[in-house]
Amino acid sequence: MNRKHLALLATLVGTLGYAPAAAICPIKPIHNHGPFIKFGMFKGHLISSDDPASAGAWEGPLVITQPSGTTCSVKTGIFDASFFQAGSHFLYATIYSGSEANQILIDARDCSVPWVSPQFTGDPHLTNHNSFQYHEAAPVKIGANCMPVSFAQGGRNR
Amino acid sequence: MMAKAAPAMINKADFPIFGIADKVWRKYPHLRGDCSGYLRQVARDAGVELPALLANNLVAYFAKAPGWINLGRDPARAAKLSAEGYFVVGGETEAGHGHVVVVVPGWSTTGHPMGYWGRLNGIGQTDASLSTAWVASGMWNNPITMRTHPHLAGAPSPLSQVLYFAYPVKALSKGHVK
Repeated sequence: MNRKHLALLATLVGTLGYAPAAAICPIKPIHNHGPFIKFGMFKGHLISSDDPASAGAWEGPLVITQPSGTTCSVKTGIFDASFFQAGSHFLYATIYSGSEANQILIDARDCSVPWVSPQFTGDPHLTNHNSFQYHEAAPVKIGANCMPVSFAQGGRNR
Repeated sequence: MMAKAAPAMINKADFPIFGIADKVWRKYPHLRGDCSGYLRQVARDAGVELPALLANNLVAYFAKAPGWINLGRDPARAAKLSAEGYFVVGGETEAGHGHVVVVVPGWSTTGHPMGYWGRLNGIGQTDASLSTAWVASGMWNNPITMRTHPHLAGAPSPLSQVLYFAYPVKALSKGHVK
């Protein structure tokens, strides 16, 4: 491939918008879910022994049912109602104790938690379709692979 | 395991604190995102004036202010005194933001006191188990909470560290409903 061919290829890529940097992870909030959430091919059941029908907070764990019917669970702090589906199998959840909260990234395929945010207060807000804003903590940008950019690049929050 | 009354034993209409806490929740929606502000307003409407302090400093205030009874980390006594007409609060201090709640009569099905609270920059809860205010023992010291609270690794659960305080208020006694 000579220089002329390379220039033509670059023009084509630019015209058709195939630049990898333009790809974003589809993130969408899950509203009005009560103790049962559905995201993609997965189902989640938020357990709350004290108030099974709660609409606002659950002691956990979160039990995830996979498309095959097998289940796994995420045992952590208290879940609040703020959930976001990211891509086909990631779930961003907010957990808290007292006044302080963290957002966690759950891989629904195995209930692993590859990322935990720094502490913040209140609930996260999704902006520009790919960034989470927090009260009292720096925003986090989500990369095309649906994981926080700093984490995906070997960031600090492991 | 702490002793508890069956939830069905509590008739909210018998206890003025429920009406006061519910009214503040409805009348001041911005306080749903402010634990200390919500607690202070409920206290004011119950006839207890509190200084304009945030949660950590309120806990310190309750511990030394005249008239307040320090119940220590005794949720059973907190629920009992609430049912006897005391204005009862629970609080936990943190290096960042602490948290305070109003304790009301009754028990959750798993044996935790019940309460009302605002949650800083979020939305609190009404007549809910305190196990949804702070993480309880069963959900503590797991690999994830140790990542969210690395400074508390191996420590007792936040809920078990809550300090309770009571203040006698005649208008809150059972059956004293306006």
